[in-house]
Amino acid sequence: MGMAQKKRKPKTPEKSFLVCGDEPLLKAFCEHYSRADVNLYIWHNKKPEVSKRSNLIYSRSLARIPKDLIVIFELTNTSPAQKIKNLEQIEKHCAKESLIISSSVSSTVTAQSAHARYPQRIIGISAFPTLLENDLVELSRGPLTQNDALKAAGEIFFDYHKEVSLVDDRIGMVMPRILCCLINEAIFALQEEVASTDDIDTAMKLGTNYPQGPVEWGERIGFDQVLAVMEALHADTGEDRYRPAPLLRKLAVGTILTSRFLV
Amino acid sequence: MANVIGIIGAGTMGSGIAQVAAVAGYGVILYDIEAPALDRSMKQIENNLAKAIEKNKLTAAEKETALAKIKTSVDFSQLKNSTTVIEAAAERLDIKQGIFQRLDDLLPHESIIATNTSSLSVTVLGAATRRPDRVIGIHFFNPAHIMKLVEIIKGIETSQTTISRITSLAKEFGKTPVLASDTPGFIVNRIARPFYGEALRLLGEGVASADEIDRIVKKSGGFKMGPFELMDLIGIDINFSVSKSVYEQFFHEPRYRPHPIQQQMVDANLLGRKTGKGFYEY
Repeated sequence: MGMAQKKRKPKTPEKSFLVCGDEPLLKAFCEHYSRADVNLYIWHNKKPEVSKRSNLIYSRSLARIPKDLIVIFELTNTSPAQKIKNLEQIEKHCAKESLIISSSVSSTVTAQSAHARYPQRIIGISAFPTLLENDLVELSRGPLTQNDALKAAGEIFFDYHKEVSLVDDRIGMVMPRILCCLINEAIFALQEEVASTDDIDTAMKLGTNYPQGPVEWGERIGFDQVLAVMEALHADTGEDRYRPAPLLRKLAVGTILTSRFLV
Repeated sequence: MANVIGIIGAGTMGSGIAQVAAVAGYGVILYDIEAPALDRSMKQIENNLAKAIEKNKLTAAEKETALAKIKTSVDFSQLKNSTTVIEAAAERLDIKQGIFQRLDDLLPHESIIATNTSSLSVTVLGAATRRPDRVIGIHFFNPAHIMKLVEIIKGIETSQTTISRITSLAKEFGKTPVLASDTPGFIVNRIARPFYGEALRLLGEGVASADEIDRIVKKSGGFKMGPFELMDLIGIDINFSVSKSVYEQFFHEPRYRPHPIQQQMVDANLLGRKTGKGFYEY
């Protein structure tokens, strides 16, 4: 008993962060913070497969997590309704001073703020699978976000060797929007039998120097994530240019099935 | 009969393709309507080969052998013994159709007529001949002697034998061929559209500035170049004309719609590096 408690108890007086949301993003954050001097609480319905580190602390229930967190990362992209639910619970449980850094690629900070009790501490982030491996994150603010909160968010990323870029609060922000449109276009081409998957990927890497082929990139990101951004862009703008390829919808179901049954 | 590659048009692309074919050991007949263009082309090839020697990619003897393989001519009938002709003339349908008709009359029955077009339909060019099964696209990327990718484009009548022969040829040229059906923009010029199109929209909507978008695309996406520096490098006018061409050929599919910023930059003659100013100043 004593042992178990000792294991779970955070080393004081260290900082504590909380992360919740889509599993690929949770994992990326765990990887990122696994060697950092913070306790990272993971709030999720099942224990994600991440490296065993004493500073990564899993909990299925929010009640078991301290209230005085420095920052909460809410990283749900695939279900805006789930995101709102998570944010509501977080606001009920955690101190109102805690910074909330919430993924804003499939819903804006503005939309999320409409449901919030304390929207002044909510910051948007371009949390998207595979992009989190890189050196820069995009941040955005809602209409009520305070400058202090934005400054604090910038410092948190600076501490962990990431540059930040402040962009306008729009669906997809910059990189996820461009990337998802590229992947959607590649999937349209695949669906129309313009070329094979391998040839599409080879062509884009050799012909235009892309770091990854769009189809393999989509696979690594998860087609459900790509679909979530395309659907949100389509709904937000009403423009047909953002309609998801029917094959993308099928591939997204594949991603969901794979993550559910093959892990 | 020796394997001779005919090349039509001694511009940048035709020269690059002639060089690649000669280095691969093929006899080359390089044809152009203007003699000075042929002279310029041979100088360009010599320079490129000299650079290859500097980089230890070629010996002096190999350079001479390659150069000796290339014969230039302003006489169209000299192409008559080519097993394959690669057309790299101006990107205009009427010009290319005329060339394809003349080639069809001149060449042996088995010879393949290939086009290096980046934007015209291979099927339309095939229809200008009596051998659409032996008409195919072989799209090199600029600079052709360096870029590894070659798009092989099958028109609706192109035969499997023709595809196999051109694919082997591209491999012997040291290239990586990919196969595409004859659709607007083929693979690269189509799938790359959103890279520019979305970046322009983000700029137009004020989501971020051009240099900030470039910074994000490089540091968050891992791309070597941002969309705006790339448009400046390609030429904003060239990029705009590819955008318009794909948009028109897809009958105004909104995914390919060009952006008014492109039109405005072209109107102001702000075309990128070549005019000293585009999205950036040089």
